[in-house]
Amino acid sequence: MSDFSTTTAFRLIRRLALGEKSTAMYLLIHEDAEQPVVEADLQAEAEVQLGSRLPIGSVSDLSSEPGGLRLNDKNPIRVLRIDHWSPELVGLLDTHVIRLERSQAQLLFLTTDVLSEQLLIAAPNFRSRLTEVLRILPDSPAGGAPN
Amino acid sequence: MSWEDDLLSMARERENASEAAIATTLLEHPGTLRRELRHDLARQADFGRLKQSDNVINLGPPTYGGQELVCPAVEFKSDSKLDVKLDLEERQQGWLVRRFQFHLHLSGRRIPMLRIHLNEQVGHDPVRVPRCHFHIGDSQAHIPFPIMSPRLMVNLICEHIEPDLGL
Repeated sequence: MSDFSTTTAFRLIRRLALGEKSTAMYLLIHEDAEQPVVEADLQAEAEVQLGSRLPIGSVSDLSSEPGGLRLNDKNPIRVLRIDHWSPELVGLLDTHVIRLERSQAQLLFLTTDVLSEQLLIAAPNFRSRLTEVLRILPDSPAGGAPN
Repeated sequence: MSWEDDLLSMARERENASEAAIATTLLEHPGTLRRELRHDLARQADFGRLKQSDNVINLGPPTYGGQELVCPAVEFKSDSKLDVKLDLEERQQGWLVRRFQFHLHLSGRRIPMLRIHLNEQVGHDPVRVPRCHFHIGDSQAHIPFPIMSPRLMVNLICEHIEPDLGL
């Protein structure tokens, strides 16, 4: 298991808000069972910090958007889940990563440890274009963990 | 009516207005309010007033019909410190503040401390102890303070009170 830096939804959305309008692609690794919590945290932080809702979907949605990413004018951030292994989708990501980069979006790819390891090996172009790979921790409302 | 009764009547009127203000100052769910306050503090850090942007705000254990929010130590660039405790309660119309404490410890000032309190209820002597009041330093004098959203209070403290008080 690779040792990536950790972040939380609060810190990440804050970072994205400060770098508003600059393209970014993050691969965010979470524990298997924590996907709903992490998504809820991202959504809540986007509403508080950016005043808008985050579109959250599957990376397979990209294959149905041949003309480019559909982005919300107010909010260029989009969350895409990579929740199962599919060589076709990984190939698509690796091939079209430059198109994704040109979309001027801030893309958050959410995935698990196992899938991230496979993905980073199988999609070298995608990997090289990522802004950062981070381990995302659920928020801890009762304290004890970083905000 | 005696002079004392007249003063008591005026104090009760003031307390009734405060109670009405509390009842109409609806707050977000404590989980959301926690995120909003954290974001507000992060903005104050961006403006250079606070030392760090990762100020910890914790949800305490649920209280009877309510929820506590605790922010133990916000540190200002000036070395002043703020600690906040909010006790919120859920009513039919939404979340309201039941009680709070904002303790501002001022660094290197003639006034070492400011404490702003909302008591849980109006006391038996509202002339002497308004439900929402502040204390200067260790003073036991209870000076009336207006009711407002805790977010507005944080802003007021960070942007106006802390930079100016006791210089």
